[in-house]
Amino acid sequence: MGEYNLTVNATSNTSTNTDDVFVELGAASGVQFKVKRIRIGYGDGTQTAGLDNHFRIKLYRWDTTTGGSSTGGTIVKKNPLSPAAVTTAKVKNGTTALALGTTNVEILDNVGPNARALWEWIARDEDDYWWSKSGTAGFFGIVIASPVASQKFQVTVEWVE
Amino acid sequence: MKGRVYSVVNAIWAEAVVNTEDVYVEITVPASVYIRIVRVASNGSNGLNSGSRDVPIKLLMKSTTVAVTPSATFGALSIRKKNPYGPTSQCTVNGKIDIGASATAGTLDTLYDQVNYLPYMNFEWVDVRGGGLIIPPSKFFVVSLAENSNGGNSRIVGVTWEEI
Repeated sequence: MGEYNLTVNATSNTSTNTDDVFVELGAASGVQFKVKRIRIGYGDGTQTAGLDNHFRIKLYRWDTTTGGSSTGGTIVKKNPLSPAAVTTAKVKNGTTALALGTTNVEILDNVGPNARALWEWIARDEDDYWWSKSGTAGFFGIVIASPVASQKFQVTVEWVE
Repeated sequence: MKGRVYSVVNAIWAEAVVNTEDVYVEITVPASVYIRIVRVASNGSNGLNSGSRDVPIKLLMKSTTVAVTPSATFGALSIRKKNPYGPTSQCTVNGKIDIGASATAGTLDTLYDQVNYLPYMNFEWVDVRGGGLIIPPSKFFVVSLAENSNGGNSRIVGVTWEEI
């Protein structure tokens, strides 16, 4: 059992208040992954000023992967001696819109933080992890919408297999 | 009991009446079940508008339901399992589902906590493992928010609990 993380820098939709998938994790056959930390903040470190608008984060489970154009996320082992992750990752490719997955869509959480602060969710213990389904129907989505078009956000997610 | 952890989130506009409490989440605990509150989180905006003014939030236990009868502004919320293959929650959850006033009746048992935060902060109360905010059988755990700005603002309340 290994622990892994992934970070993506991408830009919110060109239309205001429009949801885009920033990260979609997909379970491997017979394996459930468990999300233990999510951290989201405005910017990728190149911005010269902070912003004061809110934005919306939603966490989802769904059964059918996004049909949009994505890129593969870089999965990092927290322990370099761990086996490679079997979970797959799709991440938003820069400014390219990335639609939500479908089928049995569940909204797990809904947060409206301000862009001047990081938002971080950390599971209290193993029972507090967000579990995926296993196999081809096990997708976990991190989705962002902003009332200001085309804002950069940085998303980090950690999980256990 | 291990694995019986659930979550609910409710994003809805506050009513446009100053300093009036709305019930965003009410967890009804059935007979013979105890619940431990794991986390209560709240934002003063739904993320798509600026939010404004203070957000007074209260965590309560009541002896009777806040709703005299279900109404257009107070209804069922969806419970999410932390593990999709886990058992179904034994609790029911209702909350504010429309911009109008939601029910705030019910007999107050205990006011556990109250805090006032600003919309650009994230409010989060997290249980310390080994401790616990325990709601006994046949009681009601309630999270209410007041609105101190005319016109209403969007708010979010999320609650995670464990059934033991």
